[in-house]
Amino acid sequence: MGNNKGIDVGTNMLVAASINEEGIPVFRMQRDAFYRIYPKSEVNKNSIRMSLEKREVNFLTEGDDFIIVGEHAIEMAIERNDVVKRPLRKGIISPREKDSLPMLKLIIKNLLGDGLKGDIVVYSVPAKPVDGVFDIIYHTEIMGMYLRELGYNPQPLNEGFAIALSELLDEGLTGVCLSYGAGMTNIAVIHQGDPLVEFSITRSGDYIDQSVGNALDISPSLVQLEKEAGTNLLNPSNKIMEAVAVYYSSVIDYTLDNIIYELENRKKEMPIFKDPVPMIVSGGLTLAEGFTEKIEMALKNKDFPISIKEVRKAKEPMKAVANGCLLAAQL
Amino acid sequence: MAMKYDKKDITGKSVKKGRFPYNSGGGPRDQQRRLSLMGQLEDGSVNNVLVEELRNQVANLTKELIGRSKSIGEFSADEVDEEIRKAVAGAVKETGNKYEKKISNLEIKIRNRDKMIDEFRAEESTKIVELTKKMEDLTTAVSIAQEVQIDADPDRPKMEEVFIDPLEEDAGKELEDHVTIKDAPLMEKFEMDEKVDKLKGMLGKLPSFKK
Repeated sequence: MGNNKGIDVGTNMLVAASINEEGIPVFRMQRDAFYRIYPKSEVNKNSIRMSLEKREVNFLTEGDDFIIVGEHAIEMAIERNDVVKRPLRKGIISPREKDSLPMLKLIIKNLLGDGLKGDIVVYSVPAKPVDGVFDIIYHTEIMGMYLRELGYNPQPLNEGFAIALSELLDEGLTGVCLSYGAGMTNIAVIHQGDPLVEFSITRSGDYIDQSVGNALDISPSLVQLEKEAGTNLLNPSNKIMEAVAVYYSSVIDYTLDNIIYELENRKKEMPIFKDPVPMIVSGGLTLAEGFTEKIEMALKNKDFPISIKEVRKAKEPMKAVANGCLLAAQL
Repeated sequence: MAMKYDKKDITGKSVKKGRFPYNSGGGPRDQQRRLSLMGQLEDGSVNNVLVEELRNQVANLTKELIGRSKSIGEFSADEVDEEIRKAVAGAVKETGNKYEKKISNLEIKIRNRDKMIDEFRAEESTKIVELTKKMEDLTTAVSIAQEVQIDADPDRPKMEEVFIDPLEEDAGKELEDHVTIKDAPLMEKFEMDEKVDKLKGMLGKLPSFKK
């Protein structure tokens, strides 16, 4: 199999997948959020470094500055009433975030390691959004450029299709795959390995954090941390979680309505699905308790053009895309 | 010779020697003395008595004048002060009431105006949201239409796509890595070979990436 790898390049999380010597897949994850601290003096710099090392915080240094990486970046930003840098806004590279791109490159290198000649890395890319204008091609090419600099032969793969490769092997690669990430929700309808419909919508985790933050006048980063501490959509524990549950339902309805719309528009080109198909849900948002139940409830009220056998969460929602990329890298 | 004794008038006051009580009562001798007194008075001291009597009457009249109740149309100083105070208080109250009413009317007008502004603002916000959504939809539609237009003529020369890395060549050169990433635990270990073989059987090779 060589050194072929997969990487899920997400708005919130980077997940690299490789195969160890025993043929077992190995996953490495790092949140792509950064927070810069500017020391005021040499003494201040030394005390900051000591504190970071004591807390076992992941950080980079650039000159005298410290750049906190990952979850700790979010925590420190909240402590200072500030916001983190997210180089992959809405799941794609933006030149507006170019200050953070060198850090992103370093983290990707840390996750994947250097590639040897001929090593393939399959990397996930979102589909074109139907409710926004984003340059997906620019993102695909620039990410490919960075992976080439590491010594790899990069190959892009649609995020929704990556989930199908990971989760629909036993269903003949037929079904509906939804990837609920932070920046975007990616949708793919696959029929016997042929991606019929691939698109994304720009409403997902970040939209929920922002909306709840606006509604309750609190920081979206705080909402994110609260969500990740544990969300129960069917039995919310406090005011923030109640608001989160409301916006979750809104995003779910919006996703399903758009799938129905796209399938109706392509009715003439669509094959006939003889049997009911599974709907696979993946991504960080699906970690919430009651998520699949929410999707099932929403489906009951809609006239979905394809008969759905079951709504099923990916075996490991945070790793499904990277797993699909890794499998694709072995073909 | 008559017996000497101090004469007292009926009021109980002792009469001083050499003085005769004017209005002491008594018998014939008294009467006779009185008459003789009257004779004495007639020769010059009548005026003094009259003057004294008149003085007494003037004093009585003065007292009477001061103490008597006012007739209609006359006011005491205190009453005038009291009336002035009442008039001033009344004027202040009247003016205050007039301006209070004016202020409360203005307050109602301002509240109504604020309400109108809020309703207008809410309407306009809704319109702005709708228009923004329409703009976004139109932008999407225009970009799609542009693509369709381009795709419609496959023989037309296409421009080569160029992608420029926004980073400078030496960007990130000073970055030092102090990041430790551990392997994430797997819920279910699986053999890749099995899955890859299955996938190869279904797909053969990876479908080409659609841009």
